[in-house]
Amino acid sequence: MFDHVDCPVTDIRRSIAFYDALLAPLGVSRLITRVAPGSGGASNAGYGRDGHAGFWLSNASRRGRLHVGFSATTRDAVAAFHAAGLAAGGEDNGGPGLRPYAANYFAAYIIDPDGHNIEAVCRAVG
Amino acid sequence: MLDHMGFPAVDYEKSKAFYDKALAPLGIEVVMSVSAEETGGDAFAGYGSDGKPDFWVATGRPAGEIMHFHVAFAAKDRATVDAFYAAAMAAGGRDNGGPGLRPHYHPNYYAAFVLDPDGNNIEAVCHKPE
Repeated sequence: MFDHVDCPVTDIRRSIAFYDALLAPLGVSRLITRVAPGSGGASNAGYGRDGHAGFWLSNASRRGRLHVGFSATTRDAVAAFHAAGLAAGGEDNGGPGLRPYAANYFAAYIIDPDGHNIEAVCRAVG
Repeated sequence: MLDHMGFPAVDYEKSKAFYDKALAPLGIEVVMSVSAEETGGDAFAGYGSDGKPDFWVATGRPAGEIMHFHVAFAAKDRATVDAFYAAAMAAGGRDNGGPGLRPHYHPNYYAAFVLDPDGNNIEAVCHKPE
């Protein structure tokens, strides 16, 4: 359904370091990086799988509370995502485990440096 | 890669009314609703196609928070992009770039952009050649 999503962040370099670590366990990597020199100017970074950048970070001046859930193919990947997020300085917002949203909904939640609630979810039978 | 996303709206009912109309041409509708009474906190409306809620509008946006995100929905053809734009504008959206090619992205990038009631930049895009 989605083509891409753009998530506003207040410090693009900090967020790039964070998301590089956070999304690696999901097989999602940074495909495009445009960081303007100095503090001004538009900067963004596009992450994806299979060559399509579907998740973007862009410089913004305000914090927000966006929620984005990434798909994970295994429960181990969900746990690795959560551990990577904590190691990268993210805040725990719910450890890896089954949630009552749907059958086999195995998810973990990390608050990113801007306050966004980032999730990895595996819907496969465990 | 993306499973779902969501955000808190300033005016939940107003935003729901907007997305009901704007997303209909894309074949996206509310497939799940959870009331504040049911959650004991915020209410949620989950939009999706084929029964899976992917795009969630919620209550509970903090006063004074001004955060704008951008999301693009995939459209199957250019006429669908046109219909999205017309529906969104009729639903009170603000123009942020009418239907047309954006060749600086790539030669067949056909898109339209509308600001939702909170100022979020909502796009429909078709990547296919006409």
